Amino acid sequence: MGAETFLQTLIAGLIVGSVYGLVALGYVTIYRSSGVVNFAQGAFAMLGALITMYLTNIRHLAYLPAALTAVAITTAVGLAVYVLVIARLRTEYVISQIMATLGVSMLLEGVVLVLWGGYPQTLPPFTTNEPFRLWGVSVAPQGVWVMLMAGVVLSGLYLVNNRTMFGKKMTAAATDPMAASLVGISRGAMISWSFLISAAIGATAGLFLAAMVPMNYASGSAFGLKGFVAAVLGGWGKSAGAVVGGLVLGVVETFGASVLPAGYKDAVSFLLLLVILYYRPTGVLGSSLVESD
Amino acid sequence: MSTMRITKRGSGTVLLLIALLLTAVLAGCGSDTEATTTTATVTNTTGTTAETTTESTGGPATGTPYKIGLLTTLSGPVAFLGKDIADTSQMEVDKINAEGGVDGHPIELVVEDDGMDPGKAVAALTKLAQDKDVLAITGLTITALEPAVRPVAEREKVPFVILSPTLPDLRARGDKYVFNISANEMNNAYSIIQILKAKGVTKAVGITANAPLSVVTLDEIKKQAEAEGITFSILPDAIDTNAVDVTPQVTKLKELVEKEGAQVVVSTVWPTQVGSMVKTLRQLGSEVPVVTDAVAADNSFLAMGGDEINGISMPGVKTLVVDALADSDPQKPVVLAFRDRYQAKFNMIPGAMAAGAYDELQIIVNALKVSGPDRDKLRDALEQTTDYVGAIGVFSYTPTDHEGVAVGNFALLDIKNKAFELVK
Repeated sequence: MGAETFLQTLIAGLIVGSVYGLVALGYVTIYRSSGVVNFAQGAFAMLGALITMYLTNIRHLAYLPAALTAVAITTAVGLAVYVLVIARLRTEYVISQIMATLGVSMLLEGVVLVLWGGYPQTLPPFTTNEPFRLWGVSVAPQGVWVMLMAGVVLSGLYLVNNRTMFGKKMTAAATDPMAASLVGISRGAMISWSFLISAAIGATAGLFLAAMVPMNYASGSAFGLKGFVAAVLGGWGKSAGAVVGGLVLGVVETFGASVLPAGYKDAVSFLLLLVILYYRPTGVLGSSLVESD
Repeated sequence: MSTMRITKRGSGTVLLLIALLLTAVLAGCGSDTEATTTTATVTNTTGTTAETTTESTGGPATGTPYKIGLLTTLSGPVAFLGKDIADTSQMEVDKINAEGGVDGHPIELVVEDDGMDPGKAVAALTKLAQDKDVLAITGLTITALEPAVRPVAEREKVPFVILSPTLPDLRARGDKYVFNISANEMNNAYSIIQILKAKGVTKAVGITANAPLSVVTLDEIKKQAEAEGITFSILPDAIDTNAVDVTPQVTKLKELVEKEGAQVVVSTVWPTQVGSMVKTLRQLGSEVPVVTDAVAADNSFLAMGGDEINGISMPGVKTLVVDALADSDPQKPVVLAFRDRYQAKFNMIPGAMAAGAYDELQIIVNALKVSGPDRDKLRDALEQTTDYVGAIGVFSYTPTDHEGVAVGNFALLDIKNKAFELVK
C-alpha cells in the first residue's frame, strides 16, 4: 500500500470514526447520569437525518433551518423518552430500563416507516463538495466538518462537566444520587438533561451520516451498535474514551475493508472489540466503571 | 393446608377452562374475519371502468372467487418494497374484478408476510399452498429466500410466479412449477452492452458488491462484453452492501481505470452505495463515467445522492421514461396505461417492483382464463404463454424455459438533471 493510499485510507477512517465517536458520546452521557445504556441512540441519529429529509424535501425548507429544527425535535423526543418511558420504570433493575430503550428504538423506526416510507435518501453536505488536496490526498470539506464537530462536542462536554456548576451537579447526581438529592440536586432533572444532550448529539451525528450514505428508518440500529462498540472500546463511561474508541474503530474498520475481502469489515471490528476486552477490559483509555482483574 | 391445595387445583382447572373458552372464541372470531375479508374483496362499488380491456363481460364479477396467494415482505428493512408489491397487486385485482374477473369469477388476493426470513417464508408459502382453493402463488421480493421456498412450491405442486431474479445454479434445477418474472442477469448484461456500444466504449473496468447476484451479473457482463470485442477487467475488491465509507475500494478502482485506460466503469454495486462510490471517484479526481445495472433504475435512486449521480447510465424498466418511448414499441401502450393508473392512485412513478407485480398478476390471470381453476392445467397454460406484452418486457414461457422475459426489455437511461432520460 503506497503512502498516498495509506493516508487516504487513514483520513477516511478518521472521518467515519468521528461519526461513530459522536454516537458513542451519546451513550456515555446518558450512562454517566443514569446507568442506563440507551439503545435508542441509533434511532436518535436516524431521526435527525430523516426529519431533516422530510423538512427539506416535502416542506421545502432550506438545509440549515431544517437541520436545526430536526435536531430540536429529536432533542424533544429524547426528553420524552426519559419522561414517558425511563422515568416511569421505577425499578431497581436497570436492565428493564435498557430493554425499554430497545422498545423505544423499534417504536421510532416503525413510526418513521409509516410516516415517510422506506426509500433510503441522502442529505447534502454542509458546504460544497469540492475536495482539497492535502499531502497528496483528497479531503472532502464534509470530512473536516465531521472531525471538527466531534472535537467541538467533546471539548464542550468536558468544559460543561468540569468547569460549570451544572456539570458538577450532573457528576454529583451520577456519583451519589442520595447525597446529591440531600443537597437539592434533582436526579430526575439531571438525567433529563443528559437525555436532551445525547439526543442532540445523536441527531447531529445522523446529519453527517446521511450525507455519506443513504439512510432510511432501518439505518439507525446498525450505527447505534457501532457507537456502542466504540464507547466500550475506548473506555466505558469516559467521554474522551467514546471519541477515541470511535476513531480507533473507524480506522481499523476502514483499513480492514482495504486489505480484506468485503464483508469481513464487521468481523474486524468485533474481533478488535474482543481482543481489547480480553486484554484490557477497561478499554483503550481505561475506565473506572468496569471491573478488571 | 388441604384447603389451600384444593383451592390451587380448583384455580388451575378454572384457568384451563378459561383458556379453552378463549381459544374457541378467538378461532370463531378468526373465521368471522376471514368471511368478512372474502365479502369485502368480492364486492366492488366502483362499477366498470372506462378503459379498454381484452375481455370484459361488462359487469362486476360475482362467481366463486379464484384465490391467488401473494407472498411478500411486509416487515423488516425492505418492508416498503413488499408493501409496494402488495398495494399494486390489490389495485390490479380490483381492476380485474371490476371488469368481470376471470369468466365472471372474481380474483381474491391472499397476502402473507415472509418477513425476509427463510423459515417464515417457508411456513407462509406452505400455508398458502395447502389451501386447496389457492390456484397460484405470486410475489417473493428477495432472491435470498428462493433456495428455501422453491422446493416447497415444487413439493406442493402449486404454480409459483416469482418477482425476484434467480441465480443461474438455482435455475439449472429446472423447477416445473416456478416461473420467473424478473429480467435475469443475461437481460441486464445485454442492455448494458447496448449502452456501452451506443457510447462507443472499447475498454471498461467492472466493480461489484459482495452479493451473489451482483457478482453473477458482473461476470455475465464481462462475458458478453468480450464477445463484442470490449476489453473488460474486473476489480478484485468488492464493495460491501452495508459500507458507509467506500474510499479503499474506490482508490483501487481509480488505479485500475488509469492502468487499463478504461473509458467507463461498469458497476453492479448496490444502489445505496453507488452514489457514494461516484462521489468518492470524483473527489479522488477521476472523471470516468459510470454505468450501473438495472437494479438501481428507480425514482428512489435519484434521492440517494447529490449532483454526482448526474451522468450515470443504466438500463431500466420502461415505466420510468414511457412518454419518450417510440410509438412503434409494442410495450408503450401497456406501460403507459399502467403508469397512468399507478400514478393516479399512488402519486408516484412505478418502478420495477410495481411493474413486476402488475405483470405477475396479469400473466396468471391470462393463463387462468385458458385453464380454469386447476393447478396443473394452470401450470400448463402458463407454459403456453407466448409474446405476452407486459410492463417489464415481452414474456414467452415454454416447458423448458421458465425465464420469460426476452432480451432488450430495458430502456437505456441516462441521468440528467436528476431525472431519467433515454440514451441518445
